Amino acid sequence: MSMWSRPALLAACLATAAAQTLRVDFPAESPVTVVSADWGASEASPRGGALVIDLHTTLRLRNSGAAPIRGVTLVVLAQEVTPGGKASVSVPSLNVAAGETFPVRIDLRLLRPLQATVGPLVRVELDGVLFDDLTFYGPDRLNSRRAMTAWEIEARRDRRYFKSVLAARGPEGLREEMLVALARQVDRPSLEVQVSRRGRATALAAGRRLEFAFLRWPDAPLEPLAGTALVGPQEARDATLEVRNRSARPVRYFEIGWILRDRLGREYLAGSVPAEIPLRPGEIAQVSTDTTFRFPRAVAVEAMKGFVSRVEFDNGEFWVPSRDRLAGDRLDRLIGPSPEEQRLVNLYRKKGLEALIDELNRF
Amino acid sequence: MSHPQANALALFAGGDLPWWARWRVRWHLGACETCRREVEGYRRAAHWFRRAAAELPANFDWERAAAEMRANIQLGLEAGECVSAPERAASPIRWRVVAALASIAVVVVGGWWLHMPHPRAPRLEAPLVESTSDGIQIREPEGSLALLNPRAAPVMVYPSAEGAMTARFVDEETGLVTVNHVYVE
Repeated sequence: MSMWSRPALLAACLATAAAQTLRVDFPAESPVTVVSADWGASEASPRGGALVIDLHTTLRLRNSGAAPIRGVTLVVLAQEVTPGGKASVSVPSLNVAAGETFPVRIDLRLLRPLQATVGPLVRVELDGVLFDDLTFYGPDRLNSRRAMTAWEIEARRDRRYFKSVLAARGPEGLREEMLVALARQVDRPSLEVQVSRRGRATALAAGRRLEFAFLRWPDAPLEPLAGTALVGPQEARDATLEVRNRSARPVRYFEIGWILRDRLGREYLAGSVPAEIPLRPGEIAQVSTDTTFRFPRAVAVEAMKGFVSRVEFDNGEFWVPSRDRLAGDRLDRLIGPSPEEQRLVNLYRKKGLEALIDELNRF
Repeated sequence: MSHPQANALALFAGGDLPWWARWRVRWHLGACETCRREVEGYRRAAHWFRRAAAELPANFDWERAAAEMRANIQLGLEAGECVSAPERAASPIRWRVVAALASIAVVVVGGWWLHMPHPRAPRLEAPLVESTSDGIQIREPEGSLALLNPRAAPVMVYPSAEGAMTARFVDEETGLVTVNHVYVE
């Protein structure tokens, strides 16, 4: 190191890191504007030959447009540190009227080499805003329109369900439903997974190609026909699937949920296989992925299941499985709640049944 | 690589290992991500238990609970005495021999262990996304970017074959759902 000694460089980094690390950029005509930013307990500290920067900020945003907002997604970019990756923070299940403000919290940690950089390390930009009428504003570089619309459709489905429970079984029925939903959240089996693309070196010598068994729902617009994946003790990869559009409408995007069952009969949601493929009515498409799901703790996979978890039609409308379908096949336990169910259960847990009923009645 | 026993990791997480065992486990954790995750898991579990304990009813009778536990332990000890054989007094000479052999073994095994090559975490070749005890992150050779989870809320994590990972939780302060997402291209 020529001009800078290591301690001097470290001191310089520490002094400037927290203040200059993050820049927030929203378009001038954005219907969402930044009111304030709280930097809380942000800090930088050295770790070996690297610098760890913990950034905690709460952005307070205002709905400067005319329509109520249902969701917002911010892109988080750190191109110098992770040029091959991106991150985003979304807040779905909002109900923000024109002129109201709402918080978006961003808690991130950067690990980067100890060297001087020019300009902010992290940029936060608006990717999109979803309104009450399902219209959208934003560059949508991360396909946040699709994700937020699907969450909103699920939110409407779930609010409708809980309202029907309230109407049919009264407040005590709703309370029972909340307790069951809470138990489902706590008991959801989880699997540690690393995801990489472009085929990393693997240990699949002991692996084998397994066939999917599919859950076939008559009301789903797509019918899964066949599928396989390479499975070893510590990874699953190269999934190939064949699906047919049996609806009368063109489809432009779909997702297949992927469930693994181990030798002890335990089931886990390994992940989902998304596919952006135009599919006319009656047409069959094949999907293949170059993604590897790696399990840090070995899993003795014995069988795999697949199911259609989301379909986007050509006109931007969505199909999502009904709650009956998910509960009938015990999938609700594996895939977890929708964002809206998560929010409503939390509201019940923190503020009680009255607050939950008031909230349901707001929609 | 041989891993420490689960009970050793649990005791390490709680800071309850003796110094020598603690040093050995810490050395292992430096090279073993799997065990680091295990330790983090124990710490999180301990955190949850502390929270759960804090939520016990205000009128919970600790004295009575302690008395019941003592009674149960006493009962177990008495039952054990009924079935165990009488103890024989250990010879002091035999103990000295055992201590000498143990010292020699420590020197030999320690010398061998310090000279053997130790495994290191595998070098990262391509970007990946993963869930950790702190959140979800993009890891690349030059650095990493993690979106952190709150400590106190249950988190739903969803991997996707498009090279992405999602973590979803309810912010305890605002009551709003937050969905963090990381992608590799």
